[in-house]
Amino acid sequence: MSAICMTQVNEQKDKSPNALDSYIRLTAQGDSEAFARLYQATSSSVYAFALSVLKNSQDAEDALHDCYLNVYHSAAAYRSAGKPMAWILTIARNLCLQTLRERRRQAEVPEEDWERLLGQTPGLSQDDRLTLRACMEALQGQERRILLLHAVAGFKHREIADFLGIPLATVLSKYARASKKMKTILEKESFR
Amino acid sequence: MNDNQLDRRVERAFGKITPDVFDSVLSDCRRQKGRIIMAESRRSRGGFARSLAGIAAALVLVLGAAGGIMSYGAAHSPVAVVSLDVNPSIELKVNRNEKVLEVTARNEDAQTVLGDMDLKGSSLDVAVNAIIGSMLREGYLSDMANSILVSVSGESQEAAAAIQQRLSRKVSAMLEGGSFAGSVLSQVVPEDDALKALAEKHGISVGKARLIKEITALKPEYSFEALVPLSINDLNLIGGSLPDISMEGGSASDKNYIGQDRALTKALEHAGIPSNVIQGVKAELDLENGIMVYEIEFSSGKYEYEYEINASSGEIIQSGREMVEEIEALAEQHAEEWKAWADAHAEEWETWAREYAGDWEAWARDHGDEVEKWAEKYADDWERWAEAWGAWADSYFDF
Repeated sequence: MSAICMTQVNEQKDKSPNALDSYIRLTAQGDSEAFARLYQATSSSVYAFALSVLKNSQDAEDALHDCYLNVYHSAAAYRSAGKPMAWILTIARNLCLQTLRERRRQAEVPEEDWERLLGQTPGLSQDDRLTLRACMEALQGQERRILLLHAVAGFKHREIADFLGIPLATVLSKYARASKKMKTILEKESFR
Repeated sequence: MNDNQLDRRVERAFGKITPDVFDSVLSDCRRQKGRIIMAESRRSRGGFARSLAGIAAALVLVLGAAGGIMSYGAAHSPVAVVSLDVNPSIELKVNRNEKVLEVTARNEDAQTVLGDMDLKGSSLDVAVNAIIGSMLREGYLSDMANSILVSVSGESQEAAAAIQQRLSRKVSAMLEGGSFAGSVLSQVVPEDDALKALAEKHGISVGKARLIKEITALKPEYSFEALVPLSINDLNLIGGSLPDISMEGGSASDKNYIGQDRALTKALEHAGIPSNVIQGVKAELDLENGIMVYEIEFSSGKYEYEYEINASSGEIIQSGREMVEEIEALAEQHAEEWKAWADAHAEEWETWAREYAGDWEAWARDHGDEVEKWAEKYADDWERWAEAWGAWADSYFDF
């Protein structure tokens, strides 16, 4: 996959269920450009979700990698139910749960140092850094997952409730709380 | 900043920190495909080694000891592993002449099946014959549970595939001769250390581990752990057709369970509806919290019904009813008015929400427990209502 092709893809990220459905169908036929488009349109959702569950950038990157390997291999078995993003994120969620299970047998995973990590990532504006830190440090786990599924994956509240298996009322109130916390931090334009 | 602006800001920031691993994924995808080509080239070397062994055998007369060592190596090194899974799980290691080198019982049922049979040194076909015979005698294979999984792995994918095809046909023919049709699943299992470790961890054969992985890949709602305790017949029932698993003979038997028809009758009795007024019936065997259940869906009049029924006992685990059409009709009727109202009041609403956000938070803090209790009590009603309303609202608002 050439760099030129990737930038073209970048310009027209289409996250609509129809577009994603057709990318998956073409991926199943071995079309690697469609696979690249699928990746471009959905990878930040997968990564954000993995990060919100695993709270460690290395583990989240591994989950991202394995998720698309799985997507590639199970594309042929995908049956459209109009929910391609939920299908991909379900694969990601299962990989994350597996990682969490493996972790339970290991020693404590060190807390990610967000400030250092964000300092090392090129191309981030001050706003981006503030947003990311607020999201990772100020929100509780469930609040963070709900906000990210809404903002990055574009899920409706009802879809989030389905996906996380929690009542819609909980999703609505936690989303409201998360958004309020975020706005308070971002509008003060400072962290703590 | 409104919610939409916040969402966009979060989306942008996470878009920027998402690492680009696409090239690495793509090359791994290709490498996994390439493995087959590598296996073929290994095999052609195997052919060359074999002809060398032939020459060596001829030279035995001349060289004696040296040739002796080579043929000893060929006869004693396993080239393929065949596993037979029903619930008993038995693994056979065979050499290149398909003589059995080692028999492993993977569970207690397998020990019962093997009894005091000594299969070492016999040909693979004879051993499989004996094992299937014993599984039939002991009742592990019957018209209640007619599924068996034949898995073959080996250095050469092609040789493994040849064994897989021959054995699955043979087993299918053996079962056909009895009083019921078998359902024979078979597969070539690729060499995969992670898969081996996974199988080892759960005390199951690599073949069964692969079957479970195939099912979870297709149906990610199942976790690997939840499927481990199931028999091959149950896995066959919920798995359906899978891309890398071949199937011969009939479908999996559901005679252990009450059957779709009886499950539907139970649901209709509970709903108090005669069977001639229902539409869109869906009945599926599924696994819920480790229990095999029938998921029954149908509609009648304005209502859609959903049932979950214990597949063994027929007990109703969950039932639900939704008045979909009526709400849809109502929504349809008032959609334009409602949208116009919402557009006209959007600003007011925002202001109101901003103004009262603080009060609401404080109130929620003080009354948190009551609210939780209340929410718990009405959770089901609320879900049903929200589901019906949300479906409609989705088409108008991105709320």
